[in-house]
Amino acid sequence: MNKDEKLSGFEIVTILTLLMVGTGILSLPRFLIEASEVDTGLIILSGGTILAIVAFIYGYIISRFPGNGYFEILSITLTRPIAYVLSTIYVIYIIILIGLNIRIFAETLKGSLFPMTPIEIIILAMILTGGYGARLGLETLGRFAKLLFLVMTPVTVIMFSLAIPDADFSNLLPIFKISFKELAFAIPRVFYSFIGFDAILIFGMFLYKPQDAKKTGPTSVVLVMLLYLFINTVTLAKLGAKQTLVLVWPTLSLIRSIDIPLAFIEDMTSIGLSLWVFSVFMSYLPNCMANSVLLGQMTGCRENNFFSVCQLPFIYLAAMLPSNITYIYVILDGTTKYLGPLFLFIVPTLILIVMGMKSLKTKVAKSKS
Amino acid sequence: MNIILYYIKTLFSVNMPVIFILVGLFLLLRDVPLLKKRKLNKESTIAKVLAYIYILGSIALFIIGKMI
Repeated sequence: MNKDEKLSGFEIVTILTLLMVGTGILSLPRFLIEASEVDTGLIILSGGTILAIVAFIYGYIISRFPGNGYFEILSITLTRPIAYVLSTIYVIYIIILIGLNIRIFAETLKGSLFPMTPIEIIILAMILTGGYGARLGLETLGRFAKLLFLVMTPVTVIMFSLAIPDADFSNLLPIFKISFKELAFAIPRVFYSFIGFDAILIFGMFLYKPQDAKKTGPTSVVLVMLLYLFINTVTLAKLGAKQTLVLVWPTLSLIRSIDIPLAFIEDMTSIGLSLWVFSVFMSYLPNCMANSVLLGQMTGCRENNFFSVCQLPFIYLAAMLPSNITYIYVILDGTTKYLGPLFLFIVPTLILIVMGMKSLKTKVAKSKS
Repeated sequence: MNIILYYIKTLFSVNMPVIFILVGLFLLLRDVPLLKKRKLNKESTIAKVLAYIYILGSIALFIIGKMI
């Protein structure tokens, strides 16, 4: 990967959309029901709208620094030492997220498809494939994401639509009963399922037109929000709130419950899991590349492909760290609770404040002269 | 300190050092010559240093894990 590689706005939209729809989609209905028994759709809409605004702010930052990477933007606005500290924390944060997501992926596959296969083999297969993919460059990623997006989106929508005939939509009642306080506490739970769109701050420098960044981020967040809204509604209508609450991965249970007697493919589990494997892979690959790009910027390297291989042992380490599924979510909750807000809200806000102060200083200097 | 030692012992059994060594060897045998060929000296030095750290560091941690 080098600075000469370029991505179109649509490619960035597809990369970010697939990046967000990773492992979060499996547990989202349960997370929402845990937060509030009613109006889970409203929580997704509110959380998605907030994050779309945040994505627009990211786009604004990128458009103000055309051709500059995340590390350079941090260096210009928050000084070089702070940029090094924040970038290092970001790289560690992404490695932990990738590792834990791959562990969830491996646990799910082991439970449903490969009961006899050691979990280490599943994790290694995923990590090595991603490590190879991350060396191929951003343009390859862009083309791959575009292809997968165009194939996966209609198939996913059709697959979940097959559950609608058996669904009981009275399970969604009552509506508009959630209090403002409940909504405010529930919204942060949605953020985990949207994590990943902050990668636009790293990929933004590769856009053909940096001005497009203001549109691409919010578009991908809105697309994911609509998909989550659809899947959450179907899951709740089919399984009901009480059953959703006790299932570890309700979306997976919904896919398993889809049954079309006498159809060419009666059981949808294999198709659902195949789509999900691609989805997890596409949430791992761009993150791995984003880390390589950031490490390359930190070290001042023109070529950063070799950093994608360097990360692999640490991703494996992060994946093997939790002893069981409960512990995975404990670490994930802890990481997203403290580091998530830092990179989603605090750092961009600081960049915006410094940008505002600098432009004010320039205006004052101009008016004095 | 005890927690760190516990994790070194449990994680650095066999798999982890093997992966670190394999990645280190890959960097040394594949990436370093490739970067040198393209005259990217800074990048090849970083890759070489990382490779040695991975190989020697993982062996050291494996030995520490066995000693505890």
